[in-house]
Amino acid sequence: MRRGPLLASTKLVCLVFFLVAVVLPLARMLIHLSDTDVAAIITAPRFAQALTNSLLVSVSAALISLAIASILAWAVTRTNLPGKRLWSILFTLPMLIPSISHGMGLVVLFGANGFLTRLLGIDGSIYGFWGIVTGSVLYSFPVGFLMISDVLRYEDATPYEAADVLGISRLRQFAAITVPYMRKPMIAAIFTVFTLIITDYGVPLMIGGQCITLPVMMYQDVVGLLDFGKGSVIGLVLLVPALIAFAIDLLTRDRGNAGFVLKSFTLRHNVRRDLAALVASVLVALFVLLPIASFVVLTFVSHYPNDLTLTLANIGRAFGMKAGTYLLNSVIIACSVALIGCAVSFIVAYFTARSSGRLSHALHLFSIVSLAIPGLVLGLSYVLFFKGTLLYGSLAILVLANMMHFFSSPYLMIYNTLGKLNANLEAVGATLGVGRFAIVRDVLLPQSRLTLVEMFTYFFVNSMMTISAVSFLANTATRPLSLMIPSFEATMMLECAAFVSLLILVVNLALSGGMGVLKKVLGKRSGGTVGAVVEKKGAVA
Amino acid sequence: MAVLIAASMMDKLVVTGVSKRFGSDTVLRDISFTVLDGEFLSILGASGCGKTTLLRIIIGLESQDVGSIHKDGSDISHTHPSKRGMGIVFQNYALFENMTVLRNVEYALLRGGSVDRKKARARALELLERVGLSDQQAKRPQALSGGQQQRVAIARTLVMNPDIILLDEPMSALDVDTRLSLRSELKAIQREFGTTLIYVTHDQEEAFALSDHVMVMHQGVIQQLDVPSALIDQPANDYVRRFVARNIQLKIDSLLPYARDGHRSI
Repeated sequence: MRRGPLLASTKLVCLVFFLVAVVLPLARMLIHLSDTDVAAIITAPRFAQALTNSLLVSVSAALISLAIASILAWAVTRTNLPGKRLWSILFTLPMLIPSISHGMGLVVLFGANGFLTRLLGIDGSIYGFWGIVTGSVLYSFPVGFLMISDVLRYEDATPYEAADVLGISRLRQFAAITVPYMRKPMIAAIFTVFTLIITDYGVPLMIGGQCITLPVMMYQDVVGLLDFGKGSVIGLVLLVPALIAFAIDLLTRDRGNAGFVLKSFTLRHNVRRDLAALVASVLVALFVLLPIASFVVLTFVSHYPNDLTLTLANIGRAFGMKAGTYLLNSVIIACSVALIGCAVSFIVAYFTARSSGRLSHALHLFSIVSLAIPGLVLGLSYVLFFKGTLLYGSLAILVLANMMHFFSSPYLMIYNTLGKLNANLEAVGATLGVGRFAIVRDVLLPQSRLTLVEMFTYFFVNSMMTISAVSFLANTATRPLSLMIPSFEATMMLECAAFVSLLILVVNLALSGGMGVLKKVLGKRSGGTVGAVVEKKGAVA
Repeated sequence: MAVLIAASMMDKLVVTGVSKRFGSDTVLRDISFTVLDGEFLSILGASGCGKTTLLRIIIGLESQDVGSIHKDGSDISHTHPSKRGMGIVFQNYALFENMTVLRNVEYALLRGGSVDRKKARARALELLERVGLSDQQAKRPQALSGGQQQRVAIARTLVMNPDIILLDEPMSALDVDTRLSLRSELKAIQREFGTTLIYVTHDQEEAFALSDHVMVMHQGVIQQLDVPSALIDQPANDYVRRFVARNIQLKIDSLLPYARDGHRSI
């Protein structure tokens, strides 16, 4: 393909953008380390303890998370569980609220004065190691569930049928067919979930008690003590597992066998299997819904557990503390991240998926590397790099930070979509006298609509609930709603924190629901109704 | 090089001394040949022999490192693909799946801007009629069979009135029956529109059945360019002999069980 100078220069612009938005800030953080006594920080017993805590918590939580995720994925793909769609939505509900809210939910349920503590008469010892593990499982298993159920859904049934014919036992089928098939996706899922957990500070901050993890330490050092040097050291340490996970993910990432026609599983009648799936689903649904229910109670009850009268006073108090302004901030940030994020990732993916060359490879690498950068690390590096510029202290820097933090997943979605479209479309355009831009607008963009809707949802929902990158960057004017949760918690206003969590959930649910409807409408429109309209027009002409 | 071109009236396309490298890979080595007006030329070779690259250079999607391409006596070596008066049909057609069949065909006319809507519509309908797809015009390409999709792709190139059409292994995705019927259709379209066809394939039978001339390529070099029967009777070298013979041998093998005792013995 002939490449115009415009194409190459636009690629360069994108590359410069990544340099400014990711590479240089990270480099700035590393430079900061030279003024810091790294050895003293790393050898301190408190650091060693935090590192141990982090690793133990993350490994335990990741394993439990994946076990739950696998059972649920099995339930929705390999059993006749009734209402699979509804269950799938329920299981992914935790992805719509901040991790810190899950921690709070556990405190409210199992804490010293918790609902269930009092109801069941257990001692409120949820604080600490197992509290963090439980909370981490709560927000991370949906990610594993989505990854694994996706893989199971596209597994070919033919090998199993062949094995049945040969009289091979179920157990041996599992060992010989399922295990090898699931190995790579499982490794990818474990590392994704592990990275998610080890870089999170929401849950351990809320429920950790004496069990301090690295992200909490980093948060306290930077936000509380303004010790950027120490923050940078911890940030660097947090980058290590994330980078390892990233490398492993890259090595094991399957290109997928999209070209093959796969035979789907025919499910036999088996009541015991379906019952087991139902029991597992109900238990997990309770696990997911109880914290959310507790938010509802906290919000609408005057002062739990002392005064149980129904009231709207808590909501009033939250709005009195500018919850309305912060909600507006959040929506503005989330919308901007979603719109700009979709545009930028489309442009970048257009280059990387539909043209070759070194610049394209570099762009692709930059685009997916953001997956490996924990939000806290990105936030801190932005503080150090952008301090003193116009951007610092504006909503724009929050938009930029969130966009880069959440860039890689939506980017990969559109990269896959554009990569699957016929490679010769631009060439056909060139021979017909239709330029690249027209092909993008008239052919590629229309065929990416559904993916763009998914990307928009991903950017929006995550920007609504994140408390990581933004925690170092927001000020009283630009603060997003989600950051009210840690500050309410710090001032013991759990009722208001519960209300804010609920508010975020409602906004995210509304947006995902709306986008789901939009997807259906768009899907139908590209299905054939347009064709019918054109046919009528054609007949008239 | 230009000296070589003592252009006769019949010479449609003259390729002279074209070479192409990708990095350290030499894909085409000093390729020179002539295509006559209205001719059906097949370029035959195993995958990786450079035949697709040659096709892309002829239409201008790739540029040659050295050498020239002349069409109707004028140098088009550096002309934009859309200004060469050629059309191309790709292996998997690259149809615009978000548009109807009719829209696929009229799209280039509308985008070009020189033709008004009504005329573009009329021209597209006329072409669909001629390739026998009038009743499919409102459908999406995905709803059509492989053979029908190919006809849409041909109609889409015909709308620009090319006098040379290039086809890049257009049948490789189709089943045997469709291939057979499309062969005759391709010949019919060629006769009707009087276009010159250059057809890239690795299927020797197809090349022999369709072409006036067949060009055998191997490792970026033309091995032989001649009428089909000459490739069998007087192969230029061992490669051509083996390439052609292998296919003939396969046919004999498949007939042998019948030949021995009149019915299939296995």
